[in-house]
Amino acid sequence: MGTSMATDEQLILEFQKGSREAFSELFLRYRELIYAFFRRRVKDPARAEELSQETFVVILRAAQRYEPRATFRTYLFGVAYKILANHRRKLDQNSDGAGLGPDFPSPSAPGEAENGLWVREAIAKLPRNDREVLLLREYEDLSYEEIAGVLRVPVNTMRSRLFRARLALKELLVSAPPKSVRQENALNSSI
Amino acid sequence: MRSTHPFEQDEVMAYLDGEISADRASEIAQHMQQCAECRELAASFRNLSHELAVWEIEPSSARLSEQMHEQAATLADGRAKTGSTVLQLTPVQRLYGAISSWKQGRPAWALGGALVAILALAVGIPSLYRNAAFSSYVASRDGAPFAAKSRSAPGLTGNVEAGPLARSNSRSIRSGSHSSKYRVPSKTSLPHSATLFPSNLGTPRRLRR
Repeated sequence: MGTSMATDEQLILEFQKGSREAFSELFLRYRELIYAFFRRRVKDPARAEELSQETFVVILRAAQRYEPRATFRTYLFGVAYKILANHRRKLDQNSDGAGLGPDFPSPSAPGEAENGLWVREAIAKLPRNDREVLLLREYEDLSYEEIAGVLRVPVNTMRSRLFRARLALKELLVSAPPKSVRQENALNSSI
Repeated sequence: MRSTHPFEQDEVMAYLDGEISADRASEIAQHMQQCAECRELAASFRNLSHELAVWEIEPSSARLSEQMHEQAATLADGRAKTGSTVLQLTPVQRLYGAISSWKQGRPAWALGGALVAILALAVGIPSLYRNAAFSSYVASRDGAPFAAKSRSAPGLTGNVEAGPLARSNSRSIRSGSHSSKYRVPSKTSLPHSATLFPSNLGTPRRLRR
């Protein structure tokens, strides 16, 4: 069976036996997802790349300990989440720990596309636990069980958080529509 | 909501996410055909997902791939040299792995760790206590009859004199002009920590000439 047809779990088991191609395939599949995972949570793109690399290095070195009890995605994002938590802990030690956290992507970061600014603003206002669940579901596309596995919470807890986060975000987006919509509304009202 | 709907709202959300059993999904689908409120909720969640999709992330740089290939090659070389498929891990990495494994839900690790900790406490605390008591005893011997002072040292009296073994191993010493009776504990009656002070045992200052 070619590596491109194999499941993630088959690939990591192949890599345990020494197949470099298996790891390359896993890296190809998840490189952008893991980078995006960090990029949505970390301000600096270079830092997001470093953390992504760190994640894959851990996977690379600890592959022998992988046991297919959970999906590989749960394992991978679990590692990424731990690395992110360590990163945040270091940052929190150098800050007052209030608000968003010092490293959440700034809604007004220079060079960013206008699209998504209001979404980032709204997401940034969610409590961190709710925000994590929402991001893992909406952007990393993890299942409920996978999210619960990554965050180490019961599925029901995770589902409640997701529901709460979506309701809150819905309200936030209604109250703060995108600038283009706001401009359009202002134009319509002035006519 | 509960009074008028057969489902919780978060169950409707789970239905939209495809995270519900087929039977339950069928029931919710039927309910939604009749319930405008649930349809509205479902529509709002769908719209939300569409809105969130506008936050896109630029692709990672080529540097990430290059560095990872270097890492993989380095590791593969190391494995080739050792002739093993088992990765060579540093102690820190092994510790990290052990902690990770424990966090992934290996109760044996947790149980083992807890037992070791309890054992360490069970052995360590009495030992520390005896050490402190013995130190008090050594300090208290200076300038006063041991038997009288020893009783003032908590714990030591119990170890040295309280048990029958301690009593049987005590010996009476009469020394020179002193008629006082000194009870000198033998080593077997002392706590094991006493071996840390072998020169002090059996040769109290009052006996030196």
